Formats: sequence, structure tokens, C-alpha cells
Amino acid sequence: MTFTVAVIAHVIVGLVGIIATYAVALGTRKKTPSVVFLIWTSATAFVSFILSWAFGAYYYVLNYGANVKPVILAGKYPWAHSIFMEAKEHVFLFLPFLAFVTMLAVLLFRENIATDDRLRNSVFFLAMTTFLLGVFITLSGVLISGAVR
Amino acid sequence: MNPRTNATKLLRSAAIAGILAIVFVTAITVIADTYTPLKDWLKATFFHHWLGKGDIALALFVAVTTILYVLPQKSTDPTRMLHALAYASILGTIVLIAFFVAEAYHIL
Repeated sequence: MTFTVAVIAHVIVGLVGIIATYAVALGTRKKTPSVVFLIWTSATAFVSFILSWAFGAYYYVLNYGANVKPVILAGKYPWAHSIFMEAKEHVFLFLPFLAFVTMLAVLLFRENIATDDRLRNSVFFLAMTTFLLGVFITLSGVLISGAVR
Repeated sequence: MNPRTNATKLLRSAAIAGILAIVFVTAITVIADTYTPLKDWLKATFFHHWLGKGDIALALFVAVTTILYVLPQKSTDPTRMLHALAYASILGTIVLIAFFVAEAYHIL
């Protein structure tokens, strides 16, 4: 797998995860949430973040440090790496755990989630937080890509 | 033990483990960037410091979830831990951003 393919896969699968997480959040807000929808979207989010982790790890560990980071640090926007890449690469590590717990909540309490408002609100809050962290990570990635050019 | 109790125990255990994993990633990131031997150890042991942080966080998550699930728990409400997990991730993000800003501008 080339590094270009890896980073593209990392971005696409990551975006799928973020969209699926948003879908979970929206799904909990419905008057009558669809349990099947919540199970599929939460599972998609978790699997997507795991895959994004794997593709990103391949690109980051084997290519970014040696070939991309020096270019950014020597360029006009070194803070793109020093702040945004550094923050992004570590905040990203939170996402699989957040997504796993969200999926677990939906799976374990699928019989209650439609009628238990406290549980639904908690799942909404967790999914929304995960989504917003995903947006931050995505925007950081856009910044970093721009800084390389 | 009824299935609902097991489900509550498992979800609470995983949420607490998630909190600890996030706290761990945040703490080891700050410490490793300020104490080079730790970063060197992570690199030597796991090929790359970032891989090491992820691998240890994952192992910690699995271990803590398992241990807490096996131990008796008093609480019957998992929702507070779900909120706490979300807050932990927000706080961890703020700490990391603040740390890297401080490091980039030599405030530390």
C-alpha cells in the first residue's frame, strides 16, 4: 500500500466514522429511536475509527515523521505540526474508546434505549462529544495538509 | 445475577476504563514530551512513541474493564459514567492543546 493510498483511506474511513457518530447522536433525539439504526451506526463508527487508526498509523509511523514533518517545520507554518498535528495525533487515540463505549451502551441496553430518557441523553452527549472531537481532528488535518504545500 | 445487572456492570466498567485510558494518553503525552528518556523508552519498546501510547492505552482499557467487571459494584446507573467519559475526553483535549501551544511558544 502506498502512503498516498494510506492517508486517503485514513481520511475517508475517518469521515465515515464521524458521520456515523453524528447519526448516532441524531438517532437518539428521535421520538421513537430505531434500535437497529443505532446499533448499525454505532458499530460503523467504532469499526471506522479502528480502520482509520490502522491506516493513519501506517502513514504516520513510516512516512510522516521522516518526510512530511521536516517540510512543515521548515516552512511558513511550523505550528501546523507543533500544535495541530501533535494535538490531533493524540486526541485521535480517544476516539476508538469513546466509540466502543457508545456502541456498548446501545447494544447492552437496546431494549431500554427507546424509553429510558436518561440513557438516551447520555448516549447523545457521548456521541456528540465524539463527533465534535472528530470535527476538530478533521479540521486539524486540513490545516496540516495545507501547511505541507 | 440478572442480565440487566451484568449489562450495567459491563458498561460502567468500560466507561471507567475509557476514562483511565484517556487520562493515561494525556498524561504520558505531556510527560514523555518533557522527559526524553520516557519517549526514548516508548520508541525503543514499541518502534514509535505514538504506537506505544496507543498499545498501552488499549491494554489498560481491556485490563481495567475486565477487573472492574469481575469486582462487585454498588451503582446501578451507568449514565453518570457515560457523562464522565465525555467530560474526560473534553478535558484531555483541552489539556493537550494547551500543552502543545505552551511548548510551541516556549511558555514551558
